[in-house]
Amino acid sequence: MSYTVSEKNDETVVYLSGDVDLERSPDARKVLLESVDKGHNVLVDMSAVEYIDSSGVASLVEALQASKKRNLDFSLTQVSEPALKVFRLARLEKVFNIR
Amino acid sequence: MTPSTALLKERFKAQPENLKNIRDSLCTLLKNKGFNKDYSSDVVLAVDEACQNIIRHAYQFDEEGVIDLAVYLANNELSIELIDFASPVDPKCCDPKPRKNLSPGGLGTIFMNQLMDSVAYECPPPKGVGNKLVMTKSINSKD
Repeated sequence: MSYTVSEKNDETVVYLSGDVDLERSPDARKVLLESVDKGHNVLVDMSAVEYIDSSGVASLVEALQASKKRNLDFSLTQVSEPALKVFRLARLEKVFNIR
Repeated sequence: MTPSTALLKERFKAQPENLKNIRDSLCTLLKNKGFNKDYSSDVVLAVDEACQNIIRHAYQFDEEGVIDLAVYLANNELSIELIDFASPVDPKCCDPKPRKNLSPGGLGTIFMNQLMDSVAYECPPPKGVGNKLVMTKSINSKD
């Protein structure tokens, strides 16, 4: 997995790509929580996510919870088909705001 | 009872960085056997989650731990065996547990149970083995 981060107005956009798995989800968790800590709304672009497992989903859930505590928006966009399948399996596709 | 000839047998160190190779091996095997993408991705995710449980909970990230993976195909059923040499775990640890929508934990066992037809530890485990997890998934004409 790799990621890039860009700032746009008061929104931080995190682009995740590749496999968000047990090896790489700690990196995803770190960048997502750091983005929330900046106090900006966060948009996660998941168009290039090829694989995500429970540890990757847990990182997103944790960041969503942290955002809620700070009254910030946390949204996902362009969720790839493999990732969407896993969200549906976890019944989280309606918990996340997917743009 | 598992048939004697495995389609795939692999021993690997129980470390997160090995999971991608295992997923790739399994994916290639299932593709070569003619399974469709949906069926393959279900099995790959279930195996990945089972391996994660072994790494995190059975071995607790002990770098010396190993996992033996075996894949069998018989009687219209795919059977996956995962053996570790850690201390025996509670055989019910793979049963799905009730969870709240926003709980980040416990998803792995839910995925395994939703994706496979059966997920169970062999009890007691074979001699010399810490735990033996067996997961099965039936095959129909669309798979």
